[in-house]
Amino acid sequence: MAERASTAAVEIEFFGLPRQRAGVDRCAVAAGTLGQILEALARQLPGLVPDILEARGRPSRHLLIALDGQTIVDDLARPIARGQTLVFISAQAGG
Amino acid sequence: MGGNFGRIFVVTLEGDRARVEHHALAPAVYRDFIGGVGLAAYLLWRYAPAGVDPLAPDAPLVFAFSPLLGTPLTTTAKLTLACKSPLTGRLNDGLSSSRFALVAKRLGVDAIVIRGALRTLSVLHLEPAPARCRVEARPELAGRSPAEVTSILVSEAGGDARPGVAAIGLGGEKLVRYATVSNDGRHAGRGGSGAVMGHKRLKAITVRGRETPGVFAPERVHARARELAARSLGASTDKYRLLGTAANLETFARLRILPARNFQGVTLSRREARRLAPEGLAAAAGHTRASCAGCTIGCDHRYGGTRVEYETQFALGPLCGVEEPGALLEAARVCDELGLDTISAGGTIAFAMECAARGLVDWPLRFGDAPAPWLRRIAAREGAGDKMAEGTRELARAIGQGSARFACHVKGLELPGYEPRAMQTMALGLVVASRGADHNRSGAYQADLRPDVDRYRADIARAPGRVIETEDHAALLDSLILCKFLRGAIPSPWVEGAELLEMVTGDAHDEASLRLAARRIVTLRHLFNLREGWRRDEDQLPARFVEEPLEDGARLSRDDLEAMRDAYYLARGYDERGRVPPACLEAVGLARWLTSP
Repeated sequence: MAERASTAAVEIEFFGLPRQRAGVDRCAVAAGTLGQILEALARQLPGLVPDILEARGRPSRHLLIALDGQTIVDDLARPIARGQTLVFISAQAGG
Repeated sequence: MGGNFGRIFVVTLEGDRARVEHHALAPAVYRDFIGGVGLAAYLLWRYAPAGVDPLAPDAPLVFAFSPLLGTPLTTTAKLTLACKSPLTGRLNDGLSSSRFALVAKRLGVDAIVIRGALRTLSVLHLEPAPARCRVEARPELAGRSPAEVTSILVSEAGGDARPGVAAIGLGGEKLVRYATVSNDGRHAGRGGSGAVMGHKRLKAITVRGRETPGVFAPERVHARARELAARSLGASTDKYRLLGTAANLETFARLRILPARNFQGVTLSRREARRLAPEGLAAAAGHTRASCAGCTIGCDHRYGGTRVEYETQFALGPLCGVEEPGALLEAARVCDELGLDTISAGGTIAFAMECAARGLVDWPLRFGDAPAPWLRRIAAREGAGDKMAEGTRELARAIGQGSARFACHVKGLELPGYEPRAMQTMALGLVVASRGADHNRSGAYQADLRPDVDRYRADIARAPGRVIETEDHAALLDSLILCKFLRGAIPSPWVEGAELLEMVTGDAHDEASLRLAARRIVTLRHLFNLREGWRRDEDQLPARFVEEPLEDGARLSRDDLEAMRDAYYLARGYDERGRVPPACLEAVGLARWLTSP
């Protein structure tokens, strides 16, 4: 199960299609690299696979991840610190 | 030649009659401009007298079709409606999906150019034989909504061959400079094509026909149509199908790129955003879903029966300080009824709200007031609504007192819902777009949401190339015409575009020839504006965006924006003042078209 939000965790917020697939608005996971966090999410929220995350936790082309709602990140080795937020949005941004 | 007929209708209106003629188009026109917005730009260049007043009889209204229209390929039931904009004085075009587009092409033509004006409010009935086309005076239709007019005309037609209908609302009749043309409930929305049609005293156009140009390789087209339809049902389009563009509002609020209160800030609380998001609208009014003609995506989400897209939601909601779902939905419904562009209507009202808040006008409107009563005053040109019907730029000129500083438009076209201080590639895309502040012919917002882009920084070296790529991509899709909501299902648009054109028309294309065609189309659009008096200082955002930081401190530097703009001109092959030198004309293959039809 995804952890409850706490200062010891990274908060995940879901919008658009990622929220629809996740089935939740938000959750929290232990801090780590982006790749480790996505792997954990793929296990904890299986609805994200395969459209948002591939089976091994790599991001699909339908997902964008905004670190703290600002910078789009995709480097799986990037460390994500406790207290930071990853905002999951649909890759198709226009309208 | 498959996909095209090689000819167009040229309709001349005068008194109470229409003269309809066929004009031939050379095969090279289709190779060089493809169709849709490309063909429309060519026809505007050819048929609009230089310097024409957009609301003069000589100003043409162009309906341009595409080679893919009428094939079983998904999302291709679209047309381009183009004119010189009465809002901007520059090139204007809009895309609209509808059964009208499908039936209009069956007239046996690739475009319809309408010139002149009638004496009385009328309906133009078009059939394949020019001699059977006629004008019917219908002054009693004045004030009717496009939906009502369509229902009346379809009912009157009877028989098996239901006509396609395009109509204007009260806004078009009253020459509101951001009035739309509606077909099957969809609108060619931006820039005031409805006012041009209204000036011609055309309340509606009906089309009936059975002609078909055929396609070059029918079996390949049908096979690709099945395969593309399957692709269109996947996760790449689920956002549009399951949620609609309205899902953007909550996302953009979270990313702090959702403009609020006439672009004074980007702050919208989570609770407020949720109320205006699809879940909130559905809870308030119920939800149904529909599709455009010939589309497998089905992005048309309706709440309480009213279709709501993100841009409508932004412009009539947070931009006007509106937080009540009911007020937002009512405003959207009234815009449909009156035939008004929701972005420009919301933008103009939001500007007037700020003027009122600053005491520059004594009109009784405040941020948060329901827009619907003001939309009715605008369409009827009653009281202050008469000034607001001219759009934000002219309203600022009328009000004066320094209000131009926060009149949010580019070239007279009100801004769409992307905050340029927090999306600085988009800022460049907005200022250089030929139509004015534009999110359709340029998708530069996509560049700001890439991993390698700092969207809070003006990247003078790389932003011009990113903007050009999205403009050229849009020129391709909008000329073919394929819906942009399909773009996630088309990973190689240049390659697949060439394949589609080849199997439909028989003309050989490849990635290089289509990239060149896209550059040619974008350059021709700019040339049209140059001919109509464009100056470099039009490619600028109003002072608010370069003088006021956002609440979170985000700033856009005027110097950086101008440096990006000038670098864009050079990357396009223009000179430093934005003029198009002969070498550029030769490079994109336009020189021949500027001197002969």
